[in-house]
Amino acid sequence: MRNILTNLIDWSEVWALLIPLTILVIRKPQYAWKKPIIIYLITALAINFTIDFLYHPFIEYKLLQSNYIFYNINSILRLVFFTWFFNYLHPRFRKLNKVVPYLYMLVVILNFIFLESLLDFSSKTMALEAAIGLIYCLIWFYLKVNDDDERWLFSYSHVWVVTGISLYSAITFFLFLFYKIIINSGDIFAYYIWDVHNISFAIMCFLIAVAFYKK
Amino acid sequence: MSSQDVDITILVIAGIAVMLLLVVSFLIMTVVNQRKKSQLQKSMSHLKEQQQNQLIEAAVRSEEVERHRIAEMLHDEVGALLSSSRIFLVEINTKALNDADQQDHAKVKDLIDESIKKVRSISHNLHSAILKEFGLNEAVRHFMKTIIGGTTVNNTVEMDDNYMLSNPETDLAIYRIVQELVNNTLKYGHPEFIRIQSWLKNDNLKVTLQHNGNGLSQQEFEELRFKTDGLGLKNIQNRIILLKGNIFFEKKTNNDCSVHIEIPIQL
Repeated sequence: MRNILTNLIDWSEVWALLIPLTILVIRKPQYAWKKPIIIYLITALAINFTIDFLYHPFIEYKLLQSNYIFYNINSILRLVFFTWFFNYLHPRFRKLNKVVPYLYMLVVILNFIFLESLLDFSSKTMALEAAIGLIYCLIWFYLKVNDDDERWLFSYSHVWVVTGISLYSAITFFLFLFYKIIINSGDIFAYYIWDVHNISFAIMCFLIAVAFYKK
Repeated sequence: MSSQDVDITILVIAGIAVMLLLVVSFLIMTVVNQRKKSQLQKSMSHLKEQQQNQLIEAAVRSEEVERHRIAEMLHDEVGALLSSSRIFLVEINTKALNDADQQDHAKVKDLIDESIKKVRSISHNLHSAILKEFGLNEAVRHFMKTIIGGTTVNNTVEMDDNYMLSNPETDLAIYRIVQELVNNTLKYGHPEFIRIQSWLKNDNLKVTLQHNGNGLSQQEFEELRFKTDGLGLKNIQNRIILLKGNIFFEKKTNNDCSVHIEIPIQL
């Protein structure tokens, strides 16, 4: 039973993505904002499957020593697609997106050239991605508080996506920031804390599925 | 586990908790703010509706006052003048007149009699003393008799006698609606028969006007009442709003049309 639960949490980065994708196929929602989210879900499915496949004990790492490179790529793509998603929510984000993603890419490239290896788990890149995601969500909440719209907040489908991203970013910021130190310490806590990441990722996917379900 | 590892573990857990708290508090703040805005908007629209109703009430009331004034002037001044004219006309010795003048005299007398009748009829229509004295049912019956009398249109009036006077203003508004509907039906619908029915059910008075002329559908009514020249339909709608009732125009075929009115009555 414990084994099943462990496997379920370990593979949640893959099966959780199938929930919103299934709802998407069934409900076929017609939202303008769905494009970046769908592209992210599909690319994340491919990357996360590779990550978990490489992590599998039956696979001997012949080509690569670890799956960390895929986590780094996943994080970069997540930021690109999520900032693109915010473009559809408020004109302010369009202005912000003319600077932030490019600045992020510059920082990431400089980081991988001078500070960290792309093949290694990049705490800095991923923590920065979570911080930007969180700041975007908080800016959106702030804009929502100050607008004149009195409609029930959760009647909008995109609110579920923003809530999902904000919860995921809030949980993973400190986790990403210190994950490399935790791994290097060889602590069992690293294993458990990654379960927290997986659960928060599954919650985000579930909330995206709710957004797709709401027509 | 070294003390440094324990510190990092605590830091990560505390960091996650603080970040979660931040997001949750932002979320709650947004929801609470949204609710406040919604409540404010509701109370604003309620206030706006109240103001609109007050304006409608004032317009309807001033229209009634004006009708009353015109009715009194017609009855007391024009009616009195015509009656005096008739008296003087009758006192003329017609025996001294030749045949042609006698015929003219008789014609003038008939015309004055007709004018007196018309003035009285218009005055009663505008003022409706019957409504005040005998209530809505009798006023509608009398109105139908007056307006249809002398035409080829068949009419049936089946009013629910369980309905007693609830409120003079409500009765007047219902009466005016029926008046306007019948006038419109005769003017534009050219029906062969008109049936007016009313029945009281669960503190609601339902009035139905059925006819076989060219009537309106609900959609046509909605479109017409927004036209600037459609004053009659606007008046109907205003009175319905004032009475907090409903009106529904039904057009089954070109020769089977009805108007259904439902008014809440406080007996």
